[in-house]
Amino acid sequence: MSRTEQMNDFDQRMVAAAEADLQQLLAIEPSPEFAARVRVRVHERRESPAKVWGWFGLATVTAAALAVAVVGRTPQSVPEAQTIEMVHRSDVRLSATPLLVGDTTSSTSQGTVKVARHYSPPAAVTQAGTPEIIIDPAMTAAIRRMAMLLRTSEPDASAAEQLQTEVGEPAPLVIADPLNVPELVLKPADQNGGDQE
Amino acid sequence: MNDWAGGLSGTLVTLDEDLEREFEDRLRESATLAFRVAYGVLRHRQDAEDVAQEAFAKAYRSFSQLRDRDRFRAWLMRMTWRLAIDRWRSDRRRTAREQVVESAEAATTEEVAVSRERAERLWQAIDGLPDKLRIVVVLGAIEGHDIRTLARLLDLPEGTVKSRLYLARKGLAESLRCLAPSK
Repeated sequence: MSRTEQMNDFDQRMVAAAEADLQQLLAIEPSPEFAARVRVRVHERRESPAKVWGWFGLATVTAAALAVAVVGRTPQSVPEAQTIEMVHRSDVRLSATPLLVGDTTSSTSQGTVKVARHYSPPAAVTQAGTPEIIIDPAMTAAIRRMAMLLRTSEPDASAAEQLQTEVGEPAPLVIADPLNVPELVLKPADQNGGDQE
Repeated sequence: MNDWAGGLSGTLVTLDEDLEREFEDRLRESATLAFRVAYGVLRHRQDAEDVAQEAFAKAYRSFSQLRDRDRFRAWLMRMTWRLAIDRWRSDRRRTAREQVVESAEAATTEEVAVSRERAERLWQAIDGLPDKLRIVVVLGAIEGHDIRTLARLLDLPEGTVKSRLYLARKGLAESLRCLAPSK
């Protein structure tokens, strides 16, 4: 059927009957609870933005707390530069300075870093390759004094005699059996390469 | 200062109460219209109620701009139609249509079967129409809306509604002729 073509009587009656049927089919009422359900849904919609913003706020606070925790934790990790400072600290321990020897017992990371920064003499770096020898400076001075004293003074003979009297006369050397040592005979080189016949 | 603040809050409360009251009035007036529009597309009572409730919930959000009665009905009807069409398209393949033929005359089983078959053909013909013609036919059948009311509800000129209604009837006649049982 074209757009301009007129409907005939049969079509008009058929459409009128269809429209009457449609009107009858659509004469249907919603359930009695319909209005109440609409009100419930309206109130849910009214509250939902507040809930959404509440969740959004909670998420924001959580993210902020995590960020603060991460930022606060970062300086405690040992960066590479501070590890180098720790090596300097062990070098300082090799030197004979009493202060630094005493500091080797410190164990907390932050404390040692501070000490190493404070007592980092240039001499310590030059001793990095030498073996570790810990000598008490007082003992070193005493040895040095004794060496100088021995070098400048003459030996005392009376002291040796006194020592001999304390120890007593040495016993004479007694040989119980004369030594029986066989005569060493040198033979010419073996022609057979050492094989026994 | 306190008096002024108290007065302002009182005005706001009064405004909210007025809006609530007006919305209740619109709900009472237009609930059946919204439900029938949705039912005309979906032919399923629960789905139609759900779509109509959704349309009312959307209308409530914009109610401050929809306080005029005619404006509200037109807006609600168009919103319901759009939501129903969306639901119908998404559910078309999986939802079996409710076939309710409640006729006082159809007393016997045979008459019920005949009227059910006729209704099925009618819905099939209506579903075959383009959306802009379909809405005119369905709305015209709801509460016997005349051309002027249809034009107001659809926000269209009366001439456009008239021509669309004519084209819809022609298409309907053609479809029904094709779908009629051969004797």
